[in-house]
Amino acid sequence: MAKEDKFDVVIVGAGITGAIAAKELTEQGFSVLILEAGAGKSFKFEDYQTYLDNYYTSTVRTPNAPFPATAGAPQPLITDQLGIENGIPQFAEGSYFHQVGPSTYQSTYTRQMGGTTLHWLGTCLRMLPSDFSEKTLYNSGKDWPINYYDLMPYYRAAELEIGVSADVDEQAFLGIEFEPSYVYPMNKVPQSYSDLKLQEWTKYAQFKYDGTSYDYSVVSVPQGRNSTPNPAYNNGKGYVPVGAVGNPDIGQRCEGNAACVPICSVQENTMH
Amino acid sequence: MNKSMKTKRLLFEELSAVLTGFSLADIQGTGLSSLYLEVFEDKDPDAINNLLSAFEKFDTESGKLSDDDLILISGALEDKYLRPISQQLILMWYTGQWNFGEPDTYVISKEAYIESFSFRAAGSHPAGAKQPGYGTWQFPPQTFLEE
Ligand SMILES: Cc1cc2nc3c(=O)[nH]c(=O)nc-3n(C[C@H](O)[C@H](O)[C@H](O)COP(=O)(O)OP(=O)(O)OC[C@H]3O[C@@H](n4cnc5c(N)ncnc54)[C@H](O)[C@@H]3O)c2cc1C
Repeated sequence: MAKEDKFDVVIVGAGITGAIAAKELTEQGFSVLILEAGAGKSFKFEDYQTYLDNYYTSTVRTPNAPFPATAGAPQPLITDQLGIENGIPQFAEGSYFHQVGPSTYQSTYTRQMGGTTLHWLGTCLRMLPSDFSEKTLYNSGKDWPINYYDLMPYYRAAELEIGVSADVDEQAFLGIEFEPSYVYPMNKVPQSYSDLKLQEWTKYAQFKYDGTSYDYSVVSVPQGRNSTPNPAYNNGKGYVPVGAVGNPDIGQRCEGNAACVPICSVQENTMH
Repeated sequence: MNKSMKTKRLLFEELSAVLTGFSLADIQGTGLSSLYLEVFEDKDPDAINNLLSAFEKFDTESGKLSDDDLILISGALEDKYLRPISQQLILMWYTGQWNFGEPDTYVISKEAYIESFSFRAAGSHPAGAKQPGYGTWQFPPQTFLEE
């Protein structure tokens, strides 16, 4: 940390939101202080390995298993949630959450340097244009004050920051559009064996809903994990993935560890 | 090798091979047998010594037991003292945990999780370790052909 005691901006929380805000601000010449309540063990490769060891030696490998809470930053656990009784979600005695109301938060988050993307799944779907006008279209929910087209440049920026793997042609469904020359930074993740089988088996199948028949389509999901860089990205300039913290030679590709939640062993789906 | 010269560790490894269905090479390849034997000696030395001496009389040199011996061993495992410790041993190799399924269970070490046999028995790998490599999720599942 610089020896300044005055900053242009103070950001509370070193999750993906705080980190990107800090990056944007410092690039524009502002000085920024980030305050993080949780432990800062995501800076060094060796420290990250201790998270991995915590995961290996947990008997219940929950999302927060690798990331023990510190006294100053307690955090929710998936085991705090005891299911739903008579429409009311139940929480364990002494659990982090104190929630009232009809729709409670049923997941967790991580209070550590790096925040919840330490154990997120990496799913990076865009919303459908129709999602923004549900009220008008379907008389349900609410209309948004912005629409899909307003968000397009931000989706692009986020997809670059995260290094999303997907195929534009495959993602252009149900009204989703892309700028004419746009490609995702990385090619789509090869689909799994079971996805391919499902694709094969549903090829000629249809399902009926409300009197209308529909085809099935089995597509891959845009992913914040590393496949192969797309050389066509950024008008042919290509994209170079960022490797693991302190060891950029690993984490360039997903290695099939199958532990994305809670911890990528090679850090390729972790934001840093 | 003269039986009396056989080390306790080798005897433990041979017993583990018989009880888990994995080969002696698989057992030794985990690098965990000393640690596991130590855990047993620490938790319940009498039980593991009884189990090892019950097993000692069988000839396992060839790596395969005779049908008669297998029947005798199955019989021995019905013994109310030997049975719990043999179950503990099998669960240890398959899960890497002490007292699996009980409230006081714990993972013996990170290697114990990584090397645990349940994943290999399922034709898989432990999540977070022994990664199969980029794109392997597209391959058809492994099949195990009868010998
Ligand atoms: C299991 C799981 C899977 C998920 N998968 C996906 C997915 O596939 N796709 C997707 O888009 N989203 C996913 N999400 C959601 C996504 O990960 C989060 O929405 C996102 O990471 C939140 O980022 P954030 O920076 O806003 O907050 P966080 O990452 O939660 O960071 C907040 C930080 O602020 C710190 N902090 C809070 N209060 C203070 C304070 N007073 N002083 C100092 N520090 C403080 C916290 O310690 C924490 O480190 C998933 C979430 C979970 C739990």
